Amino acid sequence: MPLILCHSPVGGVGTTFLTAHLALGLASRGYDVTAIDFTHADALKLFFGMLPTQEIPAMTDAASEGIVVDGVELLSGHAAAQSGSFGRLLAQHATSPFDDDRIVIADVASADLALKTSLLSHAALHLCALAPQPTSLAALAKVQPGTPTIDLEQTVFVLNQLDDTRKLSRHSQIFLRALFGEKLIATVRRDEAVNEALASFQPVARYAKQSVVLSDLATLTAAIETRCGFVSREDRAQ
Amino acid sequence: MRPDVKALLARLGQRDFQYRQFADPIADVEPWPMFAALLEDDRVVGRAETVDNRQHAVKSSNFLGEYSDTTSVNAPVERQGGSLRAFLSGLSDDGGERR
Repeated sequence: MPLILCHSPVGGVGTTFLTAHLALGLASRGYDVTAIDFTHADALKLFFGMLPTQEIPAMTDAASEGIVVDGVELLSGHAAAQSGSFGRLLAQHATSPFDDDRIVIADVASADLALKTSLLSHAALHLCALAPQPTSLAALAKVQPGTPTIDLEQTVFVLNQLDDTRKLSRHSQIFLRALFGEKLIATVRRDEAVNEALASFQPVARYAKQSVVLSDLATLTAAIETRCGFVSREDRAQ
Repeated sequence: MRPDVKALLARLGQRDFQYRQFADPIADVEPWPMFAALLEDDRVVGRAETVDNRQHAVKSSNFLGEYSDTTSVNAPVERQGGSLRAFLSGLSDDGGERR
């Protein structure tokens, strides 16, 4: 079961942004995608043009009608994770409890290490967002305590918010490329249009068609497809 | 060409403008102490004595050889440009601008 776990050891690097756009990108490629927001911040829905006051169904609420936006089913996992029942469910299943036909992308808060650890054993891939900032770079030591970061086989890295006009930002990209090689699967440039789109309750693709992040995100989606061995429905039909 | 640049040039009527993205050459990457600290952090790169046994993207054979045993995070901050240079020399000639 393709669970993609999105978690970074430090907050504010764009994990939720990447979760949302990876889900949108895969859905646009014809995959059945579910995005689960496990965070207290409840911000994943904003990237789909939803209002802060709109609620998304809890993943444990079988009776609730699902919300699907641009081909992505949106669920909230925060309550289930906090109750402990979800963790116990994960521990009981040797195989993944998620639906086999869908790609599930989980947005997990940086502070929620217990949930991250629980989900990691069920994940096809762990996507770790980084930012070209000292606090994010220093947190490379915290990605998975007990294992050197460069040895993590399940983890890939995405450098987010790269600012080509800033020296440290450019140098951080070069450094991370040297450190991780092909495990640095994508770089997404900083564009204020992302925040402006959020403030307008619009997806970036609609608000700013020329935004540089869109091509960067397409590269990310393609990299994930390749790395996970996903085959889209139309490719399977051929 | 980046799509935003292409759109801007189209609006300006400069469709045949020669555009090139410039990357920092590796020689111009500053030896930020943060980078050097991370290269010395076992939690990030593992133990030096086992690095030769690892499959690693960095090809430089001098990667950890230039770090002496006296290197310490409590020592006065020193620029470790030489060691960082060796580390970065494992990159390909494209300057790491791959995205």
